[in-house]
Amino acid sequence: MDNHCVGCHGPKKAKGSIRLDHLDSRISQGLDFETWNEIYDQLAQREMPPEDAKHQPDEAQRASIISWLGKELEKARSSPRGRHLLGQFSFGNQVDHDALFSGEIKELPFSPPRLWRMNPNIYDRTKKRIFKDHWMELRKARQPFSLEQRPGINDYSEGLFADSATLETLLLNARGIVEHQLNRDIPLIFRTILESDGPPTPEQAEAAVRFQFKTLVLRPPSAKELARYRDYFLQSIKESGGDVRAGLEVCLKAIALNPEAVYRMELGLGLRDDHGRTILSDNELAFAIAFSLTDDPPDQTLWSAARSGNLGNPEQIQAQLERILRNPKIAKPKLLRFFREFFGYHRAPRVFKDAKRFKNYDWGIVANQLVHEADLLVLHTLKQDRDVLRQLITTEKYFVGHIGLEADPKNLEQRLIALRRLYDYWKEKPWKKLEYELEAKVRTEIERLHPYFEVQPMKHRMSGGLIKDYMPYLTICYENGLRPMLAQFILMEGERERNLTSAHDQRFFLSAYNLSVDQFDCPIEQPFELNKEQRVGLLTHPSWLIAHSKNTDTNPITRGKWIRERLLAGHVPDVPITVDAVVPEDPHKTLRERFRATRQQECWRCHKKMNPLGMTFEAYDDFGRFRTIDKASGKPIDSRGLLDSTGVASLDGKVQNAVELMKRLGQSDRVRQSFIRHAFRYWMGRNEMLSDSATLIAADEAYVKSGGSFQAMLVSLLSSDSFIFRKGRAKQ
Amino acid sequence: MNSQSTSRRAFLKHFSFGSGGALLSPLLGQLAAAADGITGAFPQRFVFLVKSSGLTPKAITPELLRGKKATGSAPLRVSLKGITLPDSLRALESFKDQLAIVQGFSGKMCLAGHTSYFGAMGVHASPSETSSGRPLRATIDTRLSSQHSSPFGHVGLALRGRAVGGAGDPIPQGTLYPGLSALAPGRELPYQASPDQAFDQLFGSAIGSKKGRKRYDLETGMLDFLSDDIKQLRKKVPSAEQDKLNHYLLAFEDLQERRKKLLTMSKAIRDGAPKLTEKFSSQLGIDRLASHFELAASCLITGLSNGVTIRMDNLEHVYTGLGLTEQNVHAIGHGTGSNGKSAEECRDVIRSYHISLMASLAEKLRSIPEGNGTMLDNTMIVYLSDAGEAHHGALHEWPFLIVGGCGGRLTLPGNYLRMPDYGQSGHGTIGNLYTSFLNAYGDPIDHFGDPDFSLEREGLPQRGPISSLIA
Repeated sequence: MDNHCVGCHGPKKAKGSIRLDHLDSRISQGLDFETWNEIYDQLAQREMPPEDAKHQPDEAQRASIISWLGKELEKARSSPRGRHLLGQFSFGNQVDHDALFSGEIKELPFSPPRLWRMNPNIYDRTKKRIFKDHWMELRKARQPFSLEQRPGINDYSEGLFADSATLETLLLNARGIVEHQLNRDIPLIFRTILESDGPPTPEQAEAAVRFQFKTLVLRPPSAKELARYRDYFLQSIKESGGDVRAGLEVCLKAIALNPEAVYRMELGLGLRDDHGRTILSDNELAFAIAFSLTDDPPDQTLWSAARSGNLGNPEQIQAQLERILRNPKIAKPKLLRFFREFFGYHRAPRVFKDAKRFKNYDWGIVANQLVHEADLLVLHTLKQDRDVLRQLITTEKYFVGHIGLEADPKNLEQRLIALRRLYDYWKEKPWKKLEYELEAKVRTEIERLHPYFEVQPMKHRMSGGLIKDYMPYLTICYENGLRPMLAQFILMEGERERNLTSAHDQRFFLSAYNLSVDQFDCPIEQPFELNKEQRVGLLTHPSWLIAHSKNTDTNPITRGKWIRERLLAGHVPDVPITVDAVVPEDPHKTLRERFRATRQQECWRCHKKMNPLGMTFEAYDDFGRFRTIDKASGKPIDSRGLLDSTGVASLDGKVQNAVELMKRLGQSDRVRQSFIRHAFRYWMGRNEMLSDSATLIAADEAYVKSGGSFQAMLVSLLSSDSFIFRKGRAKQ
Repeated sequence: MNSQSTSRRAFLKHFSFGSGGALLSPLLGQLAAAADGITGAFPQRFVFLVKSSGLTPKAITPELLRGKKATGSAPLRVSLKGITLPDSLRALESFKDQLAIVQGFSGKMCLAGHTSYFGAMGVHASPSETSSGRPLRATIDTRLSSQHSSPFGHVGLALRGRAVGGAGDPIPQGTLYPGLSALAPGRELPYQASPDQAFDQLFGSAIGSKKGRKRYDLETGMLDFLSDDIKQLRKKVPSAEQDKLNHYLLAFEDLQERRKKLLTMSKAIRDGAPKLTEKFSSQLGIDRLASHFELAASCLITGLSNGVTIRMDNLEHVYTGLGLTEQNVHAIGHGTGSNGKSAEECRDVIRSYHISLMASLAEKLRSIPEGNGTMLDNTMIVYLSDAGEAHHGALHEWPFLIVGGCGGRLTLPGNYLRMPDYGQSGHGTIGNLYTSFLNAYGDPIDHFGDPDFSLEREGLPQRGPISSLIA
């Protein structure tokens, strides 16, 4: 390195702001891991030393340093520091893609035994089961398990801890929960205990412990736990001078803080096989299965299977998984959440937009509706369950202004009729002068127009303000002979959040799709073809484009990075600390032209992986609107791009625009496999290791053989060895 | 735990004072400081009082100074000596030399409208009126008070919670989250709405009903019981994963540490705690607010906390206790009068009431000697609104009232200050104001809060403290 590297990357010169003379040589302990890794990549890909360097190492030298460095990095990967780094989602793609899917790795897959901190969504459901409709108490019980909100998948078992902040919130919540249980919504066993004279019998005490365990630890207590907590309960009564309520209170609180209410156990407490692996115990499997698809504890059927030992092999596990997947009554929020975290379109409302730019009071409402429509697209595609990934990337059909997947067409027709009658009632009346409160007489007349207006929430919310919001949009629609968007109208409970009631909102919202409010005839049958030359799939959906933009500009780098990392399983290093990553302002240049700065040698190294992909999306502005002219400079948009260094020769090549890029990506095996790697990470809660190769290959085959069924792929993943076996790490 | 509090604890253990309990804390502080060789260095105290519906700039400006603006790029600064305070600030007359009226800082990086949520004290935008979003950083109140550790850290007390609730919401009980203060990014400060529960939580270790004491002791035992549970579980878990349980165990041990610390302060607590009257469990707003102020005073005097934020009201609140029975704060903010008074007059009534509470707190602190002066010398009480300068604040200016000596760190006490207008050279944002506070109190931060991008684009960058505010 002194001979070939430090000359340009040392004390005298530090090209690309990289210094190699300062590196820690304790590579195998994971020190300076990122940089050593980068060096390895550069050497292996022959990027360094550069072609025009004076002294090139000869082949033997190069091979030897690559081999040595490779071995050191292998050791680094299993060092604590290395494991921590590699355990992070952003490092997932470091595992060699081709190796993973080569079929040459014969090791039997497993996961390391672990404690996995409670998922906040599961806690929310637990809270809801306790507080039910007492929404004030529900709101006060805050979320103790905070998850980072970084892009990508955040619920990894590695690196999630319960600490002081968690405990303080848990304690506050525990007090509230127990107060509710003992004063407001009192379960029978607690009531019995509180109403008897004197202390409870041991059986009663045990019943109380059992109840609370099931409520908060989501499983029955073991015999040992039962005895311990029962004795604790009875002892506390004695210590408080015979105060049964006080004793009960403290015991119930303790159960709420039990470490197993905080960490899921996935230690592999079942039988050992001949390869040093242990299978998850029946209990552990029941939880693992339940929490993989739902936010609820195992249901009766699952518990029965566990208790009767009918959960021990992949076929039995698959049966349970398929049962849950097929049952529409079982809520499976984990599925939609995966797609949200993978695509990231749900982050759109977080991107701050200056209200001045679109005369809107509450940007969140428009953004939320856009996200909702992306959700609908995902859910619809999942329901069809055919060619899922390609559909999501290349579909020409979208949902706009639609009320939801469960909507019955007859129902929709009725709503349209109701709206028309509302419009006809008001059109000749001075609705612009309405006060907030409607007169009782007027209310009655409206209720008579159509049964929908008698429905409670509608009745409650009908106001002058609402009419003043509805009428401008309805006028535009009916005067132009258009069907209005039904999503915009509060007709039933629970739809309020997504509604764009003001005309400003609707105009703006539609413009995100390049639709015009006085021309858009909202189809009843959705999804419908929007404009196949301009938009295909989720990556040209306004919500995705907005989520991957800045406040006032597009962000081709983020967009390009997304494709490189999520669809091509590539890796882009972080911005070097010394770089001030700011795009120069210039009113006469397009953003693409202003990005010329990244073409400098030290920048292009990384930017070549992102820019040529992201620039294709320049055809869409930071609100997701398709455009051919750049507003700021007046110049035409150049949306040509390049797929390059994907690792697949047939995938590489120029593209004219984003639509072409999407179609090319939609057909690619590598893209499909990258998608499956990400699904693996989400459902396993960790990055893949080389030893997971068989699992990934099987999941890929399941997907392909079933014609692109996401469910089939998922069932394969969740009954794989990686999912059900545990094997300890080698001791250091 | 810094050396000051260790010696404080040592003194508490070995000294016994008679009935001069109220003198306990500051006297000990002085003794402790002397023992440590530091003179005049007392832990600084911070109280933030946050009202809803805006704080009207005109109403807190003395008649003589109405309409007066800054000239050039320097702020307008006028001593309050000899100047008549506006009507609603009359209760602060005797505190004039330690009163600062601070006007003209903008906060346009925050959410304008009914409330800025974490913006008012955290200087960043929130998603929308109905969503406080995630706090991006520790807010100024907790950040200032966290400089010196105290058993309870920063305390939040609230009459009402989030600015916008449901019309006709009953008075809240128990813990709530108004979306105003944060301890760290993503970590909101919980507030206590029930004065009696707050009393139990804060003073229950040493005082209060027998039942409260019993509950407290039982909870201490529970923490030990659970620590044992965790240790047992830890044995079964592979070493690579034990860290996770260790974190959880440490959390219990920290909590126990804090509770033990409280035990050593029991005499100070007993002497400094407020008297638990029926007001503490009253459902009447003015009783609860008065109780919160008493709790705040006692927290500071006993040293249980160095920082308190009080959420004074919200838009749903109806000040029946002040004779304003017909309209809530929201309606008044929109210009509807109540009980024969115009909207402006109603706002005056509410503001005067708040100021009188502020004055009585200041009075309590002023009555306790500390060093060569009083506790008030080393306290900063800030009064502001989470909606800025109006019911629907536009946030081009954001009024503040500050009472207290501020430990001599700021040049503000005793002055009226108005910054140059928004968009003029020399203008500052609340980010600059808070940065000045932090720097004045020894936290040399570059800049606190998000910048105002519009100002930056117009070539008016605002970073850093304003040196003329710092002593």
